[in-house]
Amino acid sequence: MSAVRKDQATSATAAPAPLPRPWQSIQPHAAMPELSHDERVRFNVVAAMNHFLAQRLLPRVREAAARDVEPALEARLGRPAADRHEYRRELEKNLTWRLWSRLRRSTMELRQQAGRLTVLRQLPELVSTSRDLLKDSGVSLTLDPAMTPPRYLTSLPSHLMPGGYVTDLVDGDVTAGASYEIGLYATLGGQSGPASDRAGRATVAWLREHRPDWRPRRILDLGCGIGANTLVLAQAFPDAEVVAVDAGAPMLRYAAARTAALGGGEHIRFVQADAERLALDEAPFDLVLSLMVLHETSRPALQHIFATSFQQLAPGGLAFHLEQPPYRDKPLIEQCLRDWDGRYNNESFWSSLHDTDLVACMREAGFAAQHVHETTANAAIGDAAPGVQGQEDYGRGGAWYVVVGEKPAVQTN
Amino acid sequence: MSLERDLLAMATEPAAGPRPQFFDDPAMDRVWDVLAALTAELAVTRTRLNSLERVLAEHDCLPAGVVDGWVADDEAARDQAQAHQEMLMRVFRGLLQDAAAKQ
Repeated sequence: MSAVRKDQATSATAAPAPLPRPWQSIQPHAAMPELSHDERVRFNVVAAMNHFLAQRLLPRVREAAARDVEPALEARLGRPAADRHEYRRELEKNLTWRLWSRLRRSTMELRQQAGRLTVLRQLPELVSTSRDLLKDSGVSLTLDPAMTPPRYLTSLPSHLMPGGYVTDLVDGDVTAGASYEIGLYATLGGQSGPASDRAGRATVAWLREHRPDWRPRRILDLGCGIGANTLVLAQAFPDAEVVAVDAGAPMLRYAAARTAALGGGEHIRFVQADAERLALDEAPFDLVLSLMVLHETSRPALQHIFATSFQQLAPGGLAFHLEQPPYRDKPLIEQCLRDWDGRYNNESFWSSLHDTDLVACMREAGFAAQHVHETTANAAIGDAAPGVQGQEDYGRGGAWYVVVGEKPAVQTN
Repeated sequence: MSLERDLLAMATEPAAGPRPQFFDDPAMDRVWDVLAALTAELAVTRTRLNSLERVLAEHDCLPAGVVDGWVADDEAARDQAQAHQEMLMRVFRGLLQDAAAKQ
């Protein structure tokens, strides 16, 4: 006879969450670094540690917050915490929070070191392979060596990647892009899918649902990174001209080579430029996107990027900015847990973005009030169900928030 | 083209930005960080052994389950027990030396 009756089972004894998919679930391609047995396993282990921290230790942090942190706060203040910043200052005294935070920071640093060493040991080959792949591929790459990268990309390189997206270690460097792609798995546990393109798939799914017969002729992807999401868009709209912009040369070189290696993106032009002040001397775009980009920028940059999306948009076009859901009425402990990446994982604008009224920002950028709205997007990946709104794992589980702006075909004013 | 640089040092560069301290004593942060890395490397090593057994089995060098069914004879058990003590003495050297110095 079971000692624990079924109705007594608690969340601590409920069936464990599915394990992370193995690293080799990532779709290989000719531009990607080769990983030895131990290098693959090391990423698996970092993903396993993240899984352990999220599934085993994080519930204890929540318990400690309710049991110890909140009563201590109320005793000290004579009231509950007014906001997540006040709450966090008390939470930071808690041992369980400290341990969870310490180990989480360590796994982030382990990912970066592991990815970087894997790339550096084969960098000369990766550089020449990426050049060879691009030759005669049809994929276009235009770099601007004179470009000054935005300060938010250099002062706090996102998710602790040394040198960030913009540092060239050698001539023709692809380190940032290559390290980003192989390491992303370890942080997301494979949740971004075999081609790290879940946000792009969610975007295509949204467009199919909301604009079923629409065929954008020109697409602009702002902050394209390794171009994984760009490729999904390009494959969904094979007749469109696609321009993908990023500030980082080593990201773009890798993106272009990756696109050439995987195929189906021969109509993409990768362009190094600052999305805040984009001067493209060409026709406007029917679809302007930014996918999980804004949280790595800054408040002024956000406004400039929205302005770019308005300026570059053709009449009848759609601006589509996908991000993590705002905090709004989430409990303060949940806000603090989600804020962790902003404070400790170099996601420079993560915390304040969650308080920013993106609809108001879009209006300020020029979109008419009645043509801006909020929506959600998600996508199933393989055997994994689509993300569930409200149950997202810090916006990583594939349940996203989107602010959409439309430019009417005929201006009404 | 070759990369005549210290790759290990390059891979180990920290990212720009603040380095958080979660504990009152920064040494505690360092110790937990080392423990996290050691734990990861131990897991990598265990997996390497497991993979090796599977590769040997796939090549008919070592039928599956042979290692799990293998029991050390007296001599091997003595050697392995000795190896355990050696490892513990290496890992806890500092602890023992500190304790001895305080006598």
